[in-house]
Amino acid sequence: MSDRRILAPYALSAPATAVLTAFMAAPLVMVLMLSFNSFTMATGIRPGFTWANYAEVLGDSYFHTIFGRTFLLAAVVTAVSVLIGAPEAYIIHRMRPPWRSIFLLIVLGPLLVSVIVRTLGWAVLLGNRGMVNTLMMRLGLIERPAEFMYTFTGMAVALVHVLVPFMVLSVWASLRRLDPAVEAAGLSLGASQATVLRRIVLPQAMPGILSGSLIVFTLAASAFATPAIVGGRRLKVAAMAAYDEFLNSQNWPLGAAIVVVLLIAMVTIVLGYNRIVERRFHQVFQ
Amino acid sequence: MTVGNGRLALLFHAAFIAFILAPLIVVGLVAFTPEAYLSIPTTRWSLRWFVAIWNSDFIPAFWISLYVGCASATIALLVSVPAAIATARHQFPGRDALVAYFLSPLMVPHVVLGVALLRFMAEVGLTANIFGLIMGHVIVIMPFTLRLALAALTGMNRHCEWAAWSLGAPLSVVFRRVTLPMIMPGLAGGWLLAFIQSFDELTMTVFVASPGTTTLPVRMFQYITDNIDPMVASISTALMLLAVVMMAAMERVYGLERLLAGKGDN
Amino acid sequence: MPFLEIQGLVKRYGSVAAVDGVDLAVERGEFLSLLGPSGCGKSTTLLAIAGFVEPSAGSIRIDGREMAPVKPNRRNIGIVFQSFALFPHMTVAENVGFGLEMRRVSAAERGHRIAEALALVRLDELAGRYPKQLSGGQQQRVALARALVIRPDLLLLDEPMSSLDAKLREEMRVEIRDIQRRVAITTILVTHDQAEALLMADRVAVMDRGRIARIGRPYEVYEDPGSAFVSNFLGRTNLIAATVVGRSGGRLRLRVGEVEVDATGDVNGSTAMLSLRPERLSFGSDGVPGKVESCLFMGGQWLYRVATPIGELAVIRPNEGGAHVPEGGTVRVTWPPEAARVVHE
Repeated sequence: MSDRRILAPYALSAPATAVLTAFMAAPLVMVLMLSFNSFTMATGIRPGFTWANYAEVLGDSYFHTIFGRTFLLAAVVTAVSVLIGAPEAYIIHRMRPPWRSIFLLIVLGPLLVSVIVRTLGWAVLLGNRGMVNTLMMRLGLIERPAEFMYTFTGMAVALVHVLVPFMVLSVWASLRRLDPAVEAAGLSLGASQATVLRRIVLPQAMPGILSGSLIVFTLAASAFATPAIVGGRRLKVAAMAAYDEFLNSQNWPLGAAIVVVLLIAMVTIVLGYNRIVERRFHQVFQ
Repeated sequence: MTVGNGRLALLFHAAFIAFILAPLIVVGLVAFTPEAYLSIPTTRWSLRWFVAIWNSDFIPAFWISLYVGCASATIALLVSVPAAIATARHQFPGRDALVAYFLSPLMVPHVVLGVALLRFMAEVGLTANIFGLIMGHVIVIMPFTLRLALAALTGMNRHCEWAAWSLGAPLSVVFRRVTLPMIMPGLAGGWLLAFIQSFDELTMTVFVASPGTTTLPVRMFQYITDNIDPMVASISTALMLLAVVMMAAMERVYGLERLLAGKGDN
Repeated sequence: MPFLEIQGLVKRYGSVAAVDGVDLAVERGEFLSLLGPSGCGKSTTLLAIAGFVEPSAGSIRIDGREMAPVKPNRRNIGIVFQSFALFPHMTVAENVGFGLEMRRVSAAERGHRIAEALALVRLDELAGRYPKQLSGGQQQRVALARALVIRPDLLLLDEPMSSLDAKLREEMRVEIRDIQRRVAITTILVTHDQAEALLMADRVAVMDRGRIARIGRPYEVYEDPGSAFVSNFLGRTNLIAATVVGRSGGRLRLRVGEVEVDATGDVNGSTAMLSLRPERLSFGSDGVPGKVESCLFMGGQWLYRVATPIGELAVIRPNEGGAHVPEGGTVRVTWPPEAARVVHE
């Protein structure tokens, strides 16, 4: 009987472990192996061991530009999300009951709609004959259509729209533990509104801002659909580059090297960020 | 109690909400225009693009998405529930490592999972096979079904299981008659969230898309990269309406923010 | 032979022993209370009896039968938890009938026995309701009916009254006690509430740090607590450190400062702890001199704090409608000889 009790949790975990191992871990190992193979147009993929693909990804300025753009985009999107998402979460937090749920629903609801639909909206808005340009021309602000589609700005705006709900959600969740009486106590003790925000609200919101930033950054750095539609071929990001190598150039080993570099970069960033945050903001999380 | 916002805050709030809603509303407006190109602003309205959906290849793609979503959400739930029971109800060596492993797909970008799935399917001879796609989706959504199953199990009163056990029920009966009915609402929420995740998944799926495995988001992506017209807007509008209906249902049963707390899809 | 017999029960979690050598014998039909502060091991002992916790050592026998190989569903034990643990998706009748269903009792017989059990706890009207439609007291009765309907060999009550409000708690104490008498079922009650244990149980076992510190009839244990811990946990007491100056016929002569007093009990060594229950103390013409420091009115009684040469003493006197000693008044504190008890630390 004792033996069965000890083995039971392993038996119960076995199906999930098997599925993950067969369809995630094993395929990832295959990709890693693939990234060391060589490729030529004439011969296709050739087994063997070479660092050539990594040398190209890490050494070629073409890929430097792509990775640089990817991480710059992620950083900009994260910064903007913090700047607009955190205040919005606080405003929603301070709303009276019916409005609070209504606006929370409006802000979070888009998460249930495909990212394609949301990006399509920006493509319509930002196009040369799109609504933003039409409106600005009618108002006489500009004379010729301004370029938004296929620009970095356009990508950043659309990605902020796609990802900012995660920031609002994350900050709102950590503010929820803030007792309104604490704010009232701060004010009654003679602190100004600004001081209360800085000394009481901000520390409380910090864990949400930090974890929200990580979510937004990682999703932005690996985003595919939005940069592909709004940025197009001209402004490739890492995910797009991998897509092109696999499905257009058919150079799978090079594409594999791109995603391995991306994965290693992401895991390093996530783990490193967690370590720094835990050390720096140790007390905030208690 | 200081509840309520200043004038400046409300102005900011209005701008933020406008930013969130503008692209969605624009898509909705374009969907009702009659021309074959984008003609907003306009004064003429039509339902012709909604009618046109029925004869387009978006319909088969929709069925594939529905099938993949239902199958993958069900499989993910079936493997997650035992795993959740193991980690919530047992203390055993390696427990924390196992939980970390179960949640690890969250750390892997979908583009990486897509490449991995493509390579895997090619290697084992499953190219263009829908089973491979379904299992790929299972990987993406399993962390969510596992989390909701865990929350349901840790949220229920354990003494209920003990009471049933001591009333004479063997453990299998305890699970079927007491545990399962009590965690059912949580599992249903997990299934629904998993379904939505799968239904909306694009980045991974686009790598393995073939005529038999082209899901709706993939078809829409391919369509949009060619050209943007009111047809794709009308499909998007239909999807938004579907989301609103599901949102209303979920809000009523669970509270939306609790469900979304773990969502991470791009 | 006792009906329930526990010998050398030990339960360790890692290096911590939650239960550290419990021996206990309960007679058929007896109502025993396990009393103690949180973390004393009383709940763990109960869960071991029910079979939810596997003992690290020791044996548990019910009616002579060793329980170690018997799973909880085969022990025929009724249990009521603090949370009541009603099945939220079943009606009251389905909750109560669950144990009968598991015993494959026929539907007709089941209906009959459910009605009988609900009548016993005065809930006949509510058979079709769901638990969340019931008040706390009603849920408690359903839990009790569910445990009793299977005609268990043993009834276990794990802090069953802690989630009720004070008034209801008092009613339920009497009611559960009456029901237990009527069905004459061997019962073990786990509680941290000393009033509850004294009022309901035939015998009280006070637990401390995983062991039974004292066991006996409520009156005996209260009067002769044996240790400072038990005397403090059961009711309140004045504890005074003293030096032993003489022994004669089961009584000790103790010295506290300049004062010498006699006390019942025995102790090894030259120091002892003297226990004086406040309600056994009174004011008289002789005894220890003192000055009233404070005087609090508690309705049925007065609570005095009196500074004396043997230390500050709490004195409780019944309110008999007459005058009380004011603050600052001088008194002499006296007690009957048997009220002075020696306890060990």
